Order: sequence, then C-alpha cells, then structure tokens
Amino acid sequence: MDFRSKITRRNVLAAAMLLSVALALVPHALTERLRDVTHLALAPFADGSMYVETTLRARLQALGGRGLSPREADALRSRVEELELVVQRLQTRSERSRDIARTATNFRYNYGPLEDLKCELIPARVVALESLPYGQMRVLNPGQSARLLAGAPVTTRQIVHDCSKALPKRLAVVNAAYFLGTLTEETRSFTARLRLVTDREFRLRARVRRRIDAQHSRLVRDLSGDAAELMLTPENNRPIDAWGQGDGVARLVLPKVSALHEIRPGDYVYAYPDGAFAEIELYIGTVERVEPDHQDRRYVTVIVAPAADMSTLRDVFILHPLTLQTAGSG
Amino acid sequence: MRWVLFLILAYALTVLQTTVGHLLAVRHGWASPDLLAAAAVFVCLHVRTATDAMLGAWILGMLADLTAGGGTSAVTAVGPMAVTYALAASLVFRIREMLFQERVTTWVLLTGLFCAIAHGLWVTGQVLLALRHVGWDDYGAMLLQALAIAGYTAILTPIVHLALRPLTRVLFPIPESSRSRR
Repeated sequence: MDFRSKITRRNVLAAAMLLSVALALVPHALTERLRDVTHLALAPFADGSMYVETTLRARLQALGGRGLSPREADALRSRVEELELVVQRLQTRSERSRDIARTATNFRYNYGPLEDLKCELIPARVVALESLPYGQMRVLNPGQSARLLAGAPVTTRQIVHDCSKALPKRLAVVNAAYFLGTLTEETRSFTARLRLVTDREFRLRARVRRRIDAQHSRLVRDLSGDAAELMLTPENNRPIDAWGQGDGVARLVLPKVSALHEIRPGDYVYAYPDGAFAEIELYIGTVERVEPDHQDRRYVTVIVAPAADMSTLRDVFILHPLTLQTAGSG
Repeated sequence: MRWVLFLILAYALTVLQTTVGHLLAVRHGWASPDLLAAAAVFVCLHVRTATDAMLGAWILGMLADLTAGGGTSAVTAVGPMAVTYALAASLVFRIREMLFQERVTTWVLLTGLFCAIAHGLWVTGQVLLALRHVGWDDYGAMLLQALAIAGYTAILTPIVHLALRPLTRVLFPIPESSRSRR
C-alpha cells in the first residue's frame, strides 16, 4: 500500500483539526510543554524586539506627559510646604534618636549576626508578551536557572531614590521595588511566565495601609473593640487585609472590603507577607478609587492602581526564598 | 503556496505580535491588533484552494494559541484558536469571490469578519472549557473585548496587507501548468 499517496493536504488538515481538539482536551501540563518550547524558540528574536517595544513606549509616554492644571499645581505646592514642615519636625526628632540608635547599630553590625532578607534575587528580562490581549502575562528569561518556583513573587528592578544620595553598586532594595505578580506553574529553564497583578485570574491577599493626612483626618470604627468611632492616628492605624483580583486590564480590585475601614484614594496597598516567599510587604500601588458595593452597602470595592508601569516592563527580579526546597533541582 | 517560506513568515509575525505589536495596543492593552488574523486573511485571498487557506490559518491560529495563556482560567487550552482560525478561513475563502479582492474595503470587511468569528468562537470555547473559573460577566466582557480586537484589527489590516504584498509572488507562485496555458 502506498502511504505517500494518502498524505494529501486534505488529510493533513483533518489530522491538524483532530490534533487541535485533542490538545484542547488533554491536561494543561502537556500543552504547557508545547508552550514552553514555543517560547524558547521565540526568545532569541523576541528579546531584541522587546527592547525596541519598551524603549519606544517609554519615550512616547515621556513625550505625551500631561501638564498640571493651575489648581493641581497650587494643591501640589501647598502639599510640598506642608511636607517640608513635617520633615523639619521629623528631622529634629530623629536627631535625638539617631545618637541612641547609632551606638546600638554599630554594636550589632560589628558583633551581631548578619540580618538580611532570606531570599535570592534572580534577575530576569521580559522577552515577550501575550499574542492575544485577553491575559496579562509576560514571558521572562531568567537565564539557565532551574531554581524557580511557581508562585514566586516578581518585582521591578529599578528603584526610585533621592538623587542626592549615591548608592553602592549592585545594591538591591526589595522593599523599595514594586510588586508585579507571581510566576505561574509552568516555569522551566530559560523561560518562566509571569502573571501580572492586573490579570483577570490573578488573586492575592493584599494589605491596605491607610495614609494619615494632617489636612484630611478621618473617623474610623474600632472593629476590634466596641466599634466606637475614633480618629485615625498612627497608633490605631492597623493594616487591613483583603483578597484582591486583577481586572484584566490595568488595575487590581479588592472587592468586599468593609466600608467601616474608611479606605480612601491615596492609601497604600501591599502584597500580604505570606512567609513562604517573602517575609516583607511588597508594595503594589495606591488606591485609585473606592466604589460602593451595590449589592451590600456595608462593603466597598477598592480599585488599586499598580505603581509599576506594566507597559514598559523590561528588567525584573524574581524572589527566590533560600529556606525552601527548589523545584527541579538535583 | 511555499510552506517553508510561509512558516518563516508566521514565525516573524508571531515575534512581532508578541513584542512590538503591543505598541499599537489601546486602553492599557485591552485591545491590540491581531496581526496573525490579518495575515490569515491575506493568505485566504491569495491561495488557490480552501484546504490551503484552512491549513495556513490553522498554523497561524496554533501559533496564537501557543503564545497566549491568560484570559479565562489559570491557563487557557491550546488548540481552540487553531480550529476557529481554520473555520473562519474556510468562510472567508468561500465569500472572497463575491467581493473585489484588490479593494481595501474588502480587506477590512473580511478581516473584521474573520476576527469576530475566530475570536468570538475562541472566547466561547475557552469559557466552556473553564466554566468553573469564569462567570457570565467575564464572558460578556471578553466577548466585547473580542469585538473591539476585531474592529481594531480590521482598521489596521490595509497596512499589514500592503506590507505583505511584496511577498505575494514568492509565497504564492503561479504553477507551471497555468503559465503554459497563457
């Protein structure tokens, strides 16, 4: 029997369609291998294109920056003046405590155990985006590293700091970086996939820290006690934990947060320190707006704007805990 | 059709779509053009048989599937986009004879139709495969997103087709039998 005569284009198409249906029904683990191979094939050429994409976008955004209105400028000026006063006050206070702290710090630095975050920062680079805009994922190239774990947090590598201070080389400040998301299950050598906090399927436990503003004081209820109304002060400003989910576009949404917490735009949102990966709170962004829950008036929905610019994302850090067993090692 | 050249073109388009293609994205990446769909319509307009059109579209759809994993569930299934691309290509191939193939309006209309069918079916398929994770609200939002992608891709199609035009003779050579008849 001549098999070659059977290989017609029609038969190939039929086989291809059957293969598609079969792939859609097999477990994800198998198809993710295929995705991994595709990303490996794409990475060499996509890396250069990503450089062009992120650089161009950053330039375009810098060109198209919106100026401040006179009202916004006035508000900003008065805010700066107010902050300057606060800084003066704090400087006087800190002068006193600095002397006491210096002695203790020097002693601990010289004789005490070295304290550091128990994690390794693995530098990685975004080499590709999703071909379809339904998901908010990034393909990372962390190099030949088999130490990556699913669920590992990913942060920005760039940090914003006071330009008058010189930083030592190779300094990495994790708690000044912005939290971007976590690695998905399909993490292999050379390629890893990052699910951004804005992805529709991204879920995390977030922690909201309310900003104390001297001009706009707020009354909150003491939920731990008799629910009496009291002024929010640094002493009673307890963090609020809530579950968050990406909106699929550009925001993180915290649904069903008690309205009694009086969360307001400008409050800070962090990733909850779960202990498995990070023992510190990684900064996500600020509250953009608070919307009432129409189904239940006791709750509000908090919309969070991530601090990191996801569109120009290029260099990132993957947090790898040193205390956990690594997947795929050995 | 020269399949090896077509595969190289498909690879190049996938690299473009997953990188610089996002420069054209609007609303924080909510809608971006589907270059692979525009290329699939280009193939549909130039191949000689429906089988070739469907095979070409299947390859492009499979590449789209393999480079997109987010959306409806923890990870989307691989395969549905390849099927929907092939089905949409079959339809576009059948109706191309009714339209003037060299008109820009034809390219725009056919790409809009192709994308709406392929993406609409893909979203529906993925939602059905991940019913535990996705609610009907999400389905509505994604369907709206699919229509926006279709419209946006249709608008940008003339640019893609004009960029691919120089490759027409290389990709779709005229068979010897047709030449001798002339």
